[in-house]
Amino acid sequence: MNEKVKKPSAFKEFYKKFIKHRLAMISLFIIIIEILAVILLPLVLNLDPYTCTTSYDAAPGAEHLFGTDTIGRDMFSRVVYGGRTSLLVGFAACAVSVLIGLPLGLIAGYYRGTAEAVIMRTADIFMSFPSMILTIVAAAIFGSSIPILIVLIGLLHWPQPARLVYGKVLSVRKMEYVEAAKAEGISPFKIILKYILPNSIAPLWMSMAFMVSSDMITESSLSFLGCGVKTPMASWGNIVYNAQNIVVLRAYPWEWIPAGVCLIITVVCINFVGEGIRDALDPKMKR
Amino acid sequence: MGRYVIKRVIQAIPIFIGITFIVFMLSNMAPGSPIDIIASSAGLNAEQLQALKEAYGLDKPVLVRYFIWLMGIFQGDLGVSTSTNVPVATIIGQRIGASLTLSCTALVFSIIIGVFLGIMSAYKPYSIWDKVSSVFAFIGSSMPSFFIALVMIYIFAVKLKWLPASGMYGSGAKDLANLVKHLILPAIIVSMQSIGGYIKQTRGAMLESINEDYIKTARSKGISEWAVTIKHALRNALIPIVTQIGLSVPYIVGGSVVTEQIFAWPGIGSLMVNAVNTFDYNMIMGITVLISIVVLIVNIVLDVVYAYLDPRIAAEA
Repeated sequence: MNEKVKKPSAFKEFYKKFIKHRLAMISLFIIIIEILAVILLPLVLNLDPYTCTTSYDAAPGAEHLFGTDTIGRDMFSRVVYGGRTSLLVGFAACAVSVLIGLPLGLIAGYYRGTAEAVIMRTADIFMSFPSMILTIVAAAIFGSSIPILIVLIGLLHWPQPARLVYGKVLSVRKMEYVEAAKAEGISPFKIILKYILPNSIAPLWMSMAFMVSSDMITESSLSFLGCGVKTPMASWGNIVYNAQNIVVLRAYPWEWIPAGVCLIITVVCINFVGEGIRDALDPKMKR
Repeated sequence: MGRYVIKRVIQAIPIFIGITFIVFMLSNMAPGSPIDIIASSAGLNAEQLQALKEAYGLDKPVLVRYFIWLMGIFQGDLGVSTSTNVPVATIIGQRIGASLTLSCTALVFSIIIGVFLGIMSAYKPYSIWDKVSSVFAFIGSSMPSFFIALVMIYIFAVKLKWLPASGMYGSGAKDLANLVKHLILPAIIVSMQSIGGYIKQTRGAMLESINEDYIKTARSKGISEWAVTIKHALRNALIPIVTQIGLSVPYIVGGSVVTEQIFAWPGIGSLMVNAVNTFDYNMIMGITVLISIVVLIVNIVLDVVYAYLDPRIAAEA
């Protein structure tokens, strides 16, 4: 009963607090603009990130807003298409790790015992091993098309959502309403779905934005190393790879700085939104 | 204490077997094995292919091959690098020194800076130290290290010409001064990501212990605030700092891969990227095994340090 009255007001309260967080609101605005830009710009403008023109290493100008790269591709188009890749991989990989980690965390926390031991020890192993190395190995073996990268990055980052939810479930499962549901003979599946999940998901909401940004950094680092998205496909990471060439690094900053700056702005904004969400959900966390 | 150490070592064995098993299976699923390449380029028939497989022991079931490989590891035999025909262990041996130099410098560097800023921001909350600390924490979570590394090369190596852009010694003398010059930029990049964590842990633990009764007692005895901070509060902040070392090791090792590649640092990380790009699976497996051993040993050592700092842990286990 109490649950039903509380729910809508909890969201309203969150919303009220969140819109007061100015930095988070500005950041959210920038991210929305960015998402709209990478989706809409290729539809409106005639962007071509793949064709090699004859103007090599051209400086930014009216014809090529961000100049061209060493083989004459339009840098502005590549940055926009690279944004498509990086944003898509970041959000989708986070979704994959939540889809895997959330159920595992719920099961481990609710059933305890063997399930808990197996799931949480596995999570420990994943956490203690450098996931960057595993991702590189896995990408080398399974290939590095965008869908595969999304699944790989998501798969290797599952312990974080699992741990967050698991920690909360441990305390929620002892609540009286859960005991009452058990006494009524409701099936464990329904108890988890109806009572445990809604009350254990807050820590996940608080960290989701940080997971997206770290997945974006993982993708771009991989692509930068040549183990992720490969040219001619564009990703912010593999655009910055241009600067591995010392001539490009020294003389043609437009071939690598815009993509890197876009990546930083995006990651910083997503993290600010994350801080806004965290402060709104849990005022105690605020320093 | 001795029993506790043995227990932790025994617990690490299944983890080691699990990691090596996963790595072995993954590598076996990989397309383009050396045998396939030889078979297709030489146009072997089924019989010759079978003979070739037998010669390399590839006709055996995958589990048997895993055990042969695992036994090899215990004897220091990681197979032969398929791209260079040199034993994997030999190449790793030549490279590991450079990686340890970089990782350990970065680790020490981030602990010193992180713990110092953590203490200062707990000692004087809401001061300038606090602001510096939150900037560091923010950099750690928001900056793609490969881009920052390139920007730093651009500024300090290309424009200002203060520091070299790549290599461990470059063409210069193999002495300490030259090494330090080459080490500065990569070490800053690798430690950048973990400094924030140390600040957060230290600050949190210090602030928590500052409200404890024994701190009030120490203060009431008239000991200076600084002595209270260092002698009494810091001692209890050590445990979370040890936790943080354990948490930051995977990041430092993973971060080294990217950093070594950018700075052409002759270590394990750049070796790994090369191995991946040349499909050298024996090398990939060898490096992964090595890293998992290092990570497991670090975790055991840290658990023992915990138990030493807080004897209750060993007693409970």
